Amino acid sequence: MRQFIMKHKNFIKIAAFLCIFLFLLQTVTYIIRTNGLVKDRFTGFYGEKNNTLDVVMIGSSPVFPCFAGAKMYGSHGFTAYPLSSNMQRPMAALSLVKETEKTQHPKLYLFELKQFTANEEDMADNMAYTRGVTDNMKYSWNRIDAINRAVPEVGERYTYYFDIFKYHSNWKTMVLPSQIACWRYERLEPLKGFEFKADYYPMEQLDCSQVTDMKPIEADYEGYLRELLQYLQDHDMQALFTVAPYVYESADKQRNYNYMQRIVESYGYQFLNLNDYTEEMGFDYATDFYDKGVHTNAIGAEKVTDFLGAYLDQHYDLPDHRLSSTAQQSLDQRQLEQAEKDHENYKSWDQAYERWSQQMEESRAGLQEKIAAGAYLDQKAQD
Amino acid sequence: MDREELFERLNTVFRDVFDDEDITVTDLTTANDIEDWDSLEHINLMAAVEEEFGIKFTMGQIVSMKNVGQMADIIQEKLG
Amino acid sequence: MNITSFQFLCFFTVLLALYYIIPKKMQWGLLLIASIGFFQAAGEWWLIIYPVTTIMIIYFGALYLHRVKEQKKKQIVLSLVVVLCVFLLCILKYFHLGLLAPLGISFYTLTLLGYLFDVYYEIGEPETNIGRLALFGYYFPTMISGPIVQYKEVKDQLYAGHAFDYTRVTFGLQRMIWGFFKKLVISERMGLVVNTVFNQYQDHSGLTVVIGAVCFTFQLYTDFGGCMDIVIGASEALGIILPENFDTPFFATNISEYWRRWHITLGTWLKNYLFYPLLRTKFFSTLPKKLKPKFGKKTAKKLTTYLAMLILWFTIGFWHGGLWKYIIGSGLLHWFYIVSGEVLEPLWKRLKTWFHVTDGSRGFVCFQRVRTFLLVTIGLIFFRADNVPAACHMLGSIFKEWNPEILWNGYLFELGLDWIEFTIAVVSLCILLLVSVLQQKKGIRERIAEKPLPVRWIIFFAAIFYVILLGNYGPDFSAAEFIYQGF
Repeated sequence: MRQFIMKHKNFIKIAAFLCIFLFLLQTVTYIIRTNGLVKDRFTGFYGEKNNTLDVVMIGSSPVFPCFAGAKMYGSHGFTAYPLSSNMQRPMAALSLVKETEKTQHPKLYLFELKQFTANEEDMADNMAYTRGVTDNMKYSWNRIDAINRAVPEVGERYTYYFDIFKYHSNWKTMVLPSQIACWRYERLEPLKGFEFKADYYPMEQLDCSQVTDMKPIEADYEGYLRELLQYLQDHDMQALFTVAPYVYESADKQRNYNYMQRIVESYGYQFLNLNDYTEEMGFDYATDFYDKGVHTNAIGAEKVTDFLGAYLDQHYDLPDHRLSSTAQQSLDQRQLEQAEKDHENYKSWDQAYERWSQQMEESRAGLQEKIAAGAYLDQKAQD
Repeated sequence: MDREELFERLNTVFRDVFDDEDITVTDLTTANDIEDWDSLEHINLMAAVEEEFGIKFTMGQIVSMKNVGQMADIIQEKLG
Repeated sequence: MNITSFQFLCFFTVLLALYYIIPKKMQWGLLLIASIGFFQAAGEWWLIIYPVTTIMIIYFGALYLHRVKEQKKKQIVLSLVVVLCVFLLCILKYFHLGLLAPLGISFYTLTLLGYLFDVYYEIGEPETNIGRLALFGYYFPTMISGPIVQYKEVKDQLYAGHAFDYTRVTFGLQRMIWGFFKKLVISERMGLVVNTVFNQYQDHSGLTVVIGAVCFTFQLYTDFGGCMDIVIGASEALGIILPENFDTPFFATNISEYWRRWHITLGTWLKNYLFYPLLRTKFFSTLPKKLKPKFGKKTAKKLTTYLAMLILWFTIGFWHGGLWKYIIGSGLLHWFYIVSGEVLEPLWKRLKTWFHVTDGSRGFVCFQRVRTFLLVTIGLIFFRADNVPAACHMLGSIFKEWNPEILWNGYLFELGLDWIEFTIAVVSLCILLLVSVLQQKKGIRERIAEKPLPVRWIIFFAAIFYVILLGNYGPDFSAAEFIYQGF
């Protein structure tokens, strides 16, 4: 052994140097990736303990201001976490499923489909949308695969593989404690990925209930959707495909969803367009949107979350991790201890629900004030 | 011509070119030893030496000679 | 393929690994293939016609010059080959093929012509293997922007096998990092200020122009010098030691010395193949005698030299791009500096006695260095400005306004670098200065090599991440090309 080391001393040194370099490079990159809510959401995902998530919600920006995982936990006891980024590109969904499976085995995947109705031409140019996903993933083969799927220009890919090329100019943020805490890209997110929107914009519903014909989505996107469905089917995973409430730009969107519904159902999966249930949830188009009918605000989110939480609880076999008093009564001492021990992993969810409830009240109060004054978003911007 | 005489004549040339009566060159004298001996003066020196001995250096010799000793060798060779 | 690009790093890594894996006999072949690949990656495929043609011409020209003894014939063939090569070069450089022109073609042409002259002057033997000659001309580290190597300097290294030498390879890589530091951290930052001042030169006056000009001097030095560190380092890692092109030029105390320290290989080339032959022509060798009766021996000699120097400096200026701003800025102006320095020598002497300065005293040397730096900077204003009138305008505007307040009223940070960026630039320049000073006594790499391993590695990682984090590169920055690459 000693002889071996002496003989290959220089090569061992080179290898050691490279390993340390790559480790440092990874750590530095994790730290200086641009800070913000998307980074928080993904580091929060990686920060969750293994096998503690019951539902993972994948999709674009309609997801995180709308589906509140903390609230679902508070009401039903299952854990739901959003892996969503702005204008998430459709090919990213499968990569995110694979990424999830490394540490979590959720009982259910929930996909929000709005991104599948977009135009590739509008999206491909914008590397920020691709980076929203790939630059928030930990280094792995799956990340390389995700980049290869999303970046057609082979010559550009290296700036995605080594995203330090993009983020090194962020070096000033390296001194922030919140950034340093991301050195492993794991950092619990107190609201479990939810984002409060405390503004409103009055909208009217575009009634498409009579639209029953179909319009194909872009061929590439259909390919990604089918690929995803096939993968879920092959791996025997449960999934629900949804559309969060928003105001369609035109009836063509409804036709797109009709088209996707047929595809999704043909693979034996369920399609739930929440726009069809706004009456049941008491969703008010005049007050419940944050911006021009694209994203819900806090009040709208609460309504949608309540509906969706109940729906999931009813239709899927999801566990209840809360230490509720009713459950405790029937337990003996040893079982109780065990339950408390199991619950250790979910304490952060209790705290998240508490925090969520508190902020919800603040947001509600603020919103109600604005609604009463008629001070909606654009008016404010003009002032 | 023996080496001693050659160096006597070289000394005269050097003193004339560099305007310094104290110069005495040896085999090992190089451009670093004489203050004004830069690339410009080098050519003037070559021309003066050529005139003194009635010979002609090639460009290769001019560029490659390392010290006065080598210069003397070349001169001796040319004079036969 | 820009040598600060990720592609180049990949190219070089693969080459380096292959180079030490394959049998030593095949190493030079690999270098030739890699060099051709490198050249081809830079432009259109058909541009290969240019190097292939010149190499053929030079190859057969050299063989002929070596064989034929008749001086007249030799001269004719030499002139033909030189004219042909320069003609080809001009076609590529000046007839709007500029955009397509392959890298460093001037350097390439000078390198090969130097080889041809050596054969002509019987300083060197001709190369009989055309592949080897091609590698000499093509060798990718030197192809970008020099150093201009002499065949006799590198022939023993280029074709010899090189065993893996840990120290040499690591030293080479360390030098590359140093080059990246100069180019990406300093030069690119300086460039931001330079662009602000030079691109809207009408809007600036006084100290602002001085700052812009000084920044350009640093930009050019760190750009060209950094490029040299990268290519010389890369070559060192491959076991081939190239000649130095810079020797702390701003430590020079006068312009002549500056040119012995700046772009050294170009100076050597011009001295050997232009200046000496020029002085040995009949015209110049008899001129002192003709002038002697009128001016006396000493002055006659000097006048002759000044005239020859005028031609030399004109050529240097012209070589940079045929425009008057180059001919003045890096040619005639320097001729003027040197000549006026000599002509006014008695005046300087008197001034020195007046002010009681002694040659070689620390204060005086310092003054000389600053003076030389400023003289060079004036020349570089021409070099960087749009044209000669613009440069003159800028020089004039320096004296139009006395505005030292920009140093403290925050205006300084509106020239392209905010205060943080500005601080980084200054700190980096201080590191450069410190290393340059240390380097005078003992090589910095040797100093580091003496330290224990953890200290060494910490230094290397610190240096690497300094460049990675503070370098201006990547999608957020438009990748700038090396300034000297076009020449």
